[in-house]
Amino acid sequence: MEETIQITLPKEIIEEAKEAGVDMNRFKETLKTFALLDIIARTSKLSKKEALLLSKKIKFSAWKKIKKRLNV
Amino acid sequence: MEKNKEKVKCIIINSNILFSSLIKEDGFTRAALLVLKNTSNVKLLIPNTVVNEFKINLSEISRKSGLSSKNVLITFEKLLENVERLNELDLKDEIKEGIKYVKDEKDTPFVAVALKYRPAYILTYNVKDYKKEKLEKLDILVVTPKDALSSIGVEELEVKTKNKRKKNLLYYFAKLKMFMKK
Repeated sequence: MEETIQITLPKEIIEEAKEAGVDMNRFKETLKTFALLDIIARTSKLSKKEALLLSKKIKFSAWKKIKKRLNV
Repeated sequence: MEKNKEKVKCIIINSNILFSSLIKEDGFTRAALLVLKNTSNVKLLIPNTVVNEFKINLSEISRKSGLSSKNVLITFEKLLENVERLNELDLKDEIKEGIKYVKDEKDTPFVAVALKYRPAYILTYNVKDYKKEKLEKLDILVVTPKDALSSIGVEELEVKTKNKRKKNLLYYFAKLKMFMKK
């Protein structure tokens, strides 16, 4: 089940951003993205070791294909 | 590395960075990528075949992470939004050359992209996989996310506090704002 929630940003953060001349729309979009990624990752069981192993596997498969296609 | 407000920095993302962003405790990597993505003089790049392999292996990534395929895909899509994907088939010469600068051939595509776009940075958690000194002579630096952030003037994005979970989100937000000027 999906749910939409509202996040209130602290006033001081908004003020600081405005003072720094930050593009507020871009700022808000980035915050939304960060919050979404953080929420998704909270249920992740991936360990550092598994992450590195998956990364190696992906790179190995990619490299095999590149080598074959380029004949290097 | 030089501070920002100079010419565009090309940063090539190694796949270990993207996988780290799926780790529950690794908010730092997620924040670092978003900061870099939103820094005006930074251009992020990734070899296209590596991105394709993510999609091909989505079910395994999903199984190992315990996340749904949809959520893994959302994470990668969000992190790779506006990241330029390079077709390695157009980089044959750089691929041949790149093999000389890695300790394991599978890391060659990242070096190939860096050779094409140098001066460039390769963003990785496994700096030791590359022949760093030789690459430095070619204007290619192999850096961790922390080093990359330092290069644009962001220090101490990693916050050490007992209440890390409670504080880090806002802390990152506050840091992010600095690099999204109009």
